[in-house]
This record gives sequence, structure tokens and C-alpha cells, in this order.
Amino acid sequence: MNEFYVGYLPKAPSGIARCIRAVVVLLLIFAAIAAIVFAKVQRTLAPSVFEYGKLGTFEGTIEASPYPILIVAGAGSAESGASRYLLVAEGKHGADSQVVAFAGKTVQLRGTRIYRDNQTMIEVVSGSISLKRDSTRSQPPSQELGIFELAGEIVDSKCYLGVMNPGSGKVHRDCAVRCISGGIPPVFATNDFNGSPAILLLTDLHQKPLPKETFLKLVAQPVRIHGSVVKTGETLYLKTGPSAISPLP
Amino acid sequence: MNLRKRGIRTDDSAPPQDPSPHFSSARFVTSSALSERPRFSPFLANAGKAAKFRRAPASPRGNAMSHQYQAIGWNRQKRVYDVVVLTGVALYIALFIGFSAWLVPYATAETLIIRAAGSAAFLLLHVVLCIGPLCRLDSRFLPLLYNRRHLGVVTFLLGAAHGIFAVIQFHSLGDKDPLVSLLTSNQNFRSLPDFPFQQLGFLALVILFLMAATSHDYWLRNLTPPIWKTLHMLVYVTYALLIGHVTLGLLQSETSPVLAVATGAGFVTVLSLHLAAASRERAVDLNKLKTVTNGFVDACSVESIPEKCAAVVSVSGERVAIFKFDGKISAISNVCRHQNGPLGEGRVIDGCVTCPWHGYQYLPETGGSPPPFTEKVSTFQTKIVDGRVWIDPKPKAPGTRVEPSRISDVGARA
Ligand code: HEM
Ligand code: HEM
Ligand code: FES
Repeated sequence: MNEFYVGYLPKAPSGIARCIRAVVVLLLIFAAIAAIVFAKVQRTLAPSVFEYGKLGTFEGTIEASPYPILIVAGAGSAESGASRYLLVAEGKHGADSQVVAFAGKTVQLRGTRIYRDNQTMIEVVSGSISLKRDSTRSQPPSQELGIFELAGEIVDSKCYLGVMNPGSGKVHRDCAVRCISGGIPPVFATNDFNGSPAILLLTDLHQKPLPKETFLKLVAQPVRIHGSVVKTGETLYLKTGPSAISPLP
Repeated sequence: MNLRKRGIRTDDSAPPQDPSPHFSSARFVTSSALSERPRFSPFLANAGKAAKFRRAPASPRGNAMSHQYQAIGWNRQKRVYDVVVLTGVALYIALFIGFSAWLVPYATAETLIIRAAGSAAFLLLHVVLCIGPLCRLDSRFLPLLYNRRHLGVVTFLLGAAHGIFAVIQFHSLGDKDPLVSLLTSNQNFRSLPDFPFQQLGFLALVILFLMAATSHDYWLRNLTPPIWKTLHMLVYVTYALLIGHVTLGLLQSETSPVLAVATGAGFVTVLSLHLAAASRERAVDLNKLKTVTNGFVDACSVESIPEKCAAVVSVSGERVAIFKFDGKISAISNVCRHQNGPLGEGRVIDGCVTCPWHGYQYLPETGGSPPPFTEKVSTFQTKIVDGRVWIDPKPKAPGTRVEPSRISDVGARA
């Protein structure tokens, strides 16, 4: 213990050097264990995919309201014989302004798929929508599923479906606020809709977009919503009002 | 001969004594370039800048000196230190990202980068915070302290990478300026579970930036040590902010008890090490020296001080280091002018008190650094009576020469 370390000397005294080597090895082992443990205990990463960098071309009919959707014939579920892809713009922006001119028309567009469970969305390349035909498809019938009281979280559909992971919860709240504020359709994600998880688009009682200011403060935290659920094709809409959304303790 | 010249800062600045007998420190002397005392932060100072600062002492060996300047920044210890730090960080990040991507194939790269960098910064901050008290408790940890500021800067860089990625990911490409979004998206300041944790991280990053930006010794001198020290004590504010950032952020979503327990254990470790170090320091301060005669206080016995080392006592609220060397006793302030390092835990090497932290040196007789260096600490009058050291509690102005007390045969027999 009579050794004395001076940092600007080229070599540390041997006893101190031995001790420090041991400490450093312990620290490195600790760092390795910490990295593996932290990697292992993450639970909020959901099975969702953003096919970043993989552009595709899609053809279908535009449904502009309440939220932009591309109805693609042939693909998707057997019951409707069509798939309904939610459309969003790049970044934290909705696609509303891009699709208004094409409401009800058949178009071709380029974009990137985002999907989670049975829900798929397309991030539309800006300016890529082109008119194919004026002819419209008949709207699939909507089905009233009844009144529900649901517990879950209001999140932005784009991140939740896969652009970010986790796309819900506290760590993602600021982003969800930004996305919804920028026009990304808000969805209500619940683990218990008739006993199974579901993603429902949030609308007002007339199935128009709910004014954002009324619920922006309650985004990405546990809430209870009272409303009626409508099913169009495979898309679920939750019709509710600001007063029917309440924070859960 | 050549070694000697380039040896412990005595070439241009020889303290007036014969250095040859002090070969307890022979192992140091075999080294070269002792005068490359790291007077400025190596990671900012390139050799050119360094030379500018150091050219002052006009010396016939000017060339040799400026040659040595180049080595100031990156001596072997620092290179080893930095290589180890960077290896550790790389190991952590690679393992975290590799294992996460393997266990959760659909995890996004952004999230993994944000998490890897943020957690690495937070872990490293724990190490930074533990080094200080560890060194007080056991001097064998001192090599970790020598370059602590490099750790601090790496902490800042990792925190910055984490914060920048988080701002890009969560706040950019939206309908507001990303920074405005960062500061306004969540304003639930009155709810704990909803508390805007990202603002806490942002504030912590701002403080880390200030510390890293002023980390060069140039700032230390120009800001003056008290202001600079205040700035550095903000590291504890940073730590508190980050504990909030993590417990009100990630831990609200990632509910694995392992993470909560790890965060708590980190906090307890930092806290208990600081308490342990503080209680040891307090022991010195509480040891009131009571016997006063003719204005001198009875400080300690000559015997109790190991050769070339010091005893630390507290007089009139100030810590004083009483050194024993070559049959002499000198007392100087315990507080290093560089960064308040505890001189009393240093050694006398070639007639100079050498600070344990970064090796600044002072002549025990005057409290002044040998030229060309200009730091000065206060000195204290001492006398030896019956094998005990008495000191005058009134500090002399820094740099005042005080003749060392000679240890009589009786006293020296120890
Ligand atoms: C502008 C500044 C900052 C912002 C916007 C920010 C944002 C965030 C966000 C959004 C998360 C949650 C991410 C997730 O895990 O999904 C997070 C977690 C975390 N942050 Fe920060 N942060 C900032 C600064 C810092 C700094 C300076 C440090 C440490 C030096 C830090 C340490 C951590 C840690 C340890 C976590 C939890 C584990 C992790 O996700 O890495 N943060 N931060
Ligand atoms: C981001 C950068 C930095 C971090 C995170 C950091 C961290 C710390 C910490 C944790 C302490 C606590 C006191 C202790 O444990 O003894 C401290 C104190 C200190 N830091 Fe830093 N530091 C940073 C940059 C610097 C730089 C650049 C310098 C040098 C110029 C420096 C010099 C000091 C000194 C001298 C003390 C001791 C103050 C005292 O106890 O009187 N630090 N710093
Ligand atoms: S040499 Fe840096 S504190 Fe003394």
C-alpha cells in the first residue's frame, strides 16, 4: 500500500495496476450483464412492422371520410372481398389533403406498408396518387355492433401499427400527441373488445373525426370510453363524444 | 542524466535540494516526460494549442519541451483509460442492440439506438459519481479519477446521441418545431404518472453540455474554481433529473421489476458511497484540536505521519496537510488549486508535494508550484515539541515561505 499513482507517468505502480485491472474487468462484465438483462426484460415491443424502404404500388378506391382509406379489391378478408388500408402521409401528417380530390374514385398510389395484427396502413409517397378511373365501387355495408364501455389507450394509428415500437404508453406519449395533432387518424387500442384485442378508429357521434383538442390531453394513457361500435368491412369505428372519455386511475 | 532532466519538473524549475536520495520514487524517475503535467484537457487541446499555453518558460531546451507538449494530451495512461472506456461502451451497446434484435426481431432500430445510448449514459453517470467517494475510501481507485472528465464527456456524448435521436423520433416531422414540441407536448406537471419526463432529460442534457463544454482546464482557470465547482456540483442535479426522467418515463411503460430494482440499486450505491466518504471526512473535521499554547495547536505526533506522507487535521475550519519528509515537517493547505484535490493524500516526490488526483505539485516550504507553474496554496507555521507537531492555525498568504521544522533525533526515531 505504499504505492502512489501519478497519472502522467507512463506506467502505474504494479499493485495499483493489478487492482485497477481487476476493477475494470469487473466493470466490463457488469456492463455486459446489464446490456443482456436490459435487452431481455423489454416487454413493450409489439409485433408490428414498418416496411421501411420497401415501396409498393397499390390500386383501389379512395374513401376520404372520416379517415382516408384505400379499398383494394381482391385482397384481404373473404367476407368483404376487399382490403381496407388506412392512408397517412409522410412524417407526422395525415393524408386528408392528398385524398380529398380523389374521394370515391379509383386511383393508383405508391407507398410503404405498415401493419400490426390484421390492420394494414400505407404511408403514401407524397404526390404519387393518380386517377385510374372515375367509376366507384359500392360501399360495403356498415354494421352496428352496439354500445360498449371499453378500457384502453388513445394512440395515433401510424406509430401504433408499426412505425414506432413501442407505439403506445408513456414513453411514446409526446409523439402520439404530435402525430394526432398533425392529422394521423387517432385509434383506440384495447385489449378487451369482446374478449380480444382490437384497434378502433375514433370518431364523433356522427362518424366524423373527433375534434383533436377535446382529447389530446388524454392521449397515450389509460382511459375508459363509452361509445357505439360500427364495423365497415374490416374497419372498426368507435363513435363517441369528448364527455364519454375519462381517464382511468 | 537525460531522464533526470526530463524527470519530475525539476529541469527548469529545480527545487533547491538534491533530488538524488529520494529514490523511494525511483520507479517514477525512470519514466520520461514527467513535466508533461496535464494542465489542460487533452481531448480539446491539440498539441498546437498546448504549445501556445506552455511556451512561456523561455528555456534553452525549448524544443525538447514543445516536443513533450505533444505527449501531454495523450500519455499512455490516458490512452489506456480511453480505450477501456470506449471498449466498455461499445461492448454494452453492441450486446444490448444485438440481444434485443435477436430476442425481438420486430424492434425498430431507432428505439434500440435510443435505449442503448440512454441507458449507457445513465450507467456511466453512476460510475462517474462513484469514483469520487471510492477514491476517498481507497486510494487504489485513484487511476479511475485521473481521467474522470473523459468519462463525463463520454456520458454527455451518449446522452446527446440519445436525446437527439429521441427528438428526431418523437418530435420531428410534425406540425410544430421539434424543440417546441419537446417542451410543450406534455404539460401535466401536476400528475406524477403523467409527468413530462422528456423535459427532465432535456434539462439534464443542457447541464451535461455546460459541464462538457467547460471541461477544458482553460475554463477552470477563467471561470475561477468556485464558479466552476458550483457548475460541477450540478452533476448531482443532473443525476436527480435523470432519476426522474427514468422513473417517470421508461419505468411507467416498461414495468419489469428488474428495471425498477436496478434503478433503485444504482441510486442506493451512489448514495451510500457518498455517505461513507462523507463520514470519513467528517471524522477529520470533528476531531477538534483542543490544546492551544501560545497560539499554536497540538496537531499530531511526528511518529504518526509516514515518511513522505501527510496527516490531515482541521484547524479553524480549514483542512491542513502536515507533511513529513527528509527529517522535516511542513504544513500546507489540504486543498489543491487545480480541482480541490486532497493534497494530504498525496506524496512528497522529489521534494514536491504531489496531488493524488492529477499530480499538480507544490513545494512544501512555500506552498508554491515550482516554476514555470504558478499555483500557490497557503502555508502554516509549525513547530515540534516533544515529538508532537504543533501548528499555527492562522494560514499564511498562499506562497509564503515557512521554514520547515526539523525533526530532532528524539522525534525522528520513529
Ligand atoms: C433532450 C433530451 C432527452 C430526451 C428528449 C429524452 C427522451 C427520452 C425518451 C423518449 C425515453 C424513452 C425511450 C424508450 O425507451 O422508448 C428516454 C429514456 C431514457 N433516457 Fe432520455 N432523453 C433525453 C436526455 C437523456 C439524458 C441526457 C440521459 C442520460 C444521460 C437520458 C437517459 C435516459 C434513460 C436511462 C432512459 C431509459 C432507458 C432508455 O430508454 O434508454 N436521457 N429518454
Ligand atoms: C460531462 C462532463 C462531466 C461530468 C459528468 C462530471 C462529473 C463530476 C462528478 C460526478 C463530480 C462529483 C464530485 C466527486 O465525486 O468528487 C465532479 C466533480 C468534479 N469535476 Fe467533473 N464532470 C464532468 C466534467 C468535468 C470536467 C470537464 C472537469 C475538469 C475541468 C471536471 C472536474 C471536476 C472536479 C475538479 C470535481 C471535484 C469538485 C470538488 O469535489 O470539489 N469535471 N464531476
Ligand atoms: S491535481 Fe487536480 S486536483 Fe490536484
